[in-house]
Amino acid sequence: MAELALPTRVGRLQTLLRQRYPLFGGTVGDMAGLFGPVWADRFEQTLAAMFPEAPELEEAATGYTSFVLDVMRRQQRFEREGKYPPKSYAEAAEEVYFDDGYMGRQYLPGLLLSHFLWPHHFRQLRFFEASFAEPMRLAGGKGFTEIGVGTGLYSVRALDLVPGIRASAYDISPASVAFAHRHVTNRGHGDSYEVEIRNVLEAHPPSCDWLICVELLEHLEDPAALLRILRNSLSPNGRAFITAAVNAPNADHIYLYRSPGEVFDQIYAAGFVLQEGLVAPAFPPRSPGLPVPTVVAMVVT
Amino acid sequence: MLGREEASVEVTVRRVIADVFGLVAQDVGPDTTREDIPGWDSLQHLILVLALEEEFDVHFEDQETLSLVNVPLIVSTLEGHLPAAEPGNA
Repeated sequence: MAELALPTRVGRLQTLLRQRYPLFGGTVGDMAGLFGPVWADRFEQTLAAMFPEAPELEEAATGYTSFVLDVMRRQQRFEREGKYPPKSYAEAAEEVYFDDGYMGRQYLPGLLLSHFLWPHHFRQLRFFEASFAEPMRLAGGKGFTEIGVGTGLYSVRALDLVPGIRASAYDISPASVAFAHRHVTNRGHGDSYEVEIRNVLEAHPPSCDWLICVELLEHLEDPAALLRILRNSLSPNGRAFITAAVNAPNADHIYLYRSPGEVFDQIYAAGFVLQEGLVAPAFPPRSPGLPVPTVVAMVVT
Repeated sequence: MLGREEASVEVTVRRVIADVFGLVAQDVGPDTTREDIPGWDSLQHLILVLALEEEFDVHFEDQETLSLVNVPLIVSTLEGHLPAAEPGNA
């Protein structure tokens, strides 16, 4: 099969990784081989919006490699100890969400690039587009709410795919809110997007027909409480896209889901009905019994 | 030629690499690089780095971690972390 011709910025990133971080030098080519032109097109759009020039891309690549090394170190420790280090929500917030430098240099660029450089994250994004955004477009959706915006990527894709839709988004991190706002604006959707700093555990979101909550549950001491809030916010005929990370230590992951079944149990207990689901492991287990980071993504009503 | 301390570090490094990748010690030479060992991907690399950190009781920064891709580089980087040898012991 002919090698995929990479667009400008994706090619630039590949060169950068090969030259400076050879351990990750094969990642871009591997992803291109797995996902082809659709992946290359999405990735180029994202890089053009957030890291259009070489110096910005170099900073993002450095942040990404630090992000990956940090995650891998935590994974090795998790494999040995079988649990996440004890950390409260307040401690995680102080250490991560309210540290603008860490968020801006490492966490947010790393998380954003991981959606195009980690197969399971890109599969989750594709599942979102096909099983949530596309039905929202077909239904003529007028607005959606996102809880925990992170990098803004999922809001961006929904705004890309559903003409004329508007979005309300909430996050507790000022750095996330700023990053997501810049992301959405740079993609030309700034007029359709309102994002504010809000802890939805304390100030519940308004009722909505379409709800997005990506990679937030594992960040909470009591994710079941958030799920009940989300269920109460979703209109009777509404639809939500909710994800959770299983066996996936990170600086701000404090609730350990040990299996996809534990996530589904909480979804059902909150009163949701599962319509579609994706369970995507990061890689095959290196030996039997070792936990593998896995994303669980669900479309629920 | 390596001094005694360096030789000791190098021998230990080669043993740790062999252990991590399931090789016999003779398979890892003084100039072995990542390209010589099948399966030395980013995940196995970090497992090796953690094994080296535990063996030598050191911690590598990110840039160092990424640079440890052959035996000479690992040995020279470790030398920067380990206490200098006493005069006369080398």
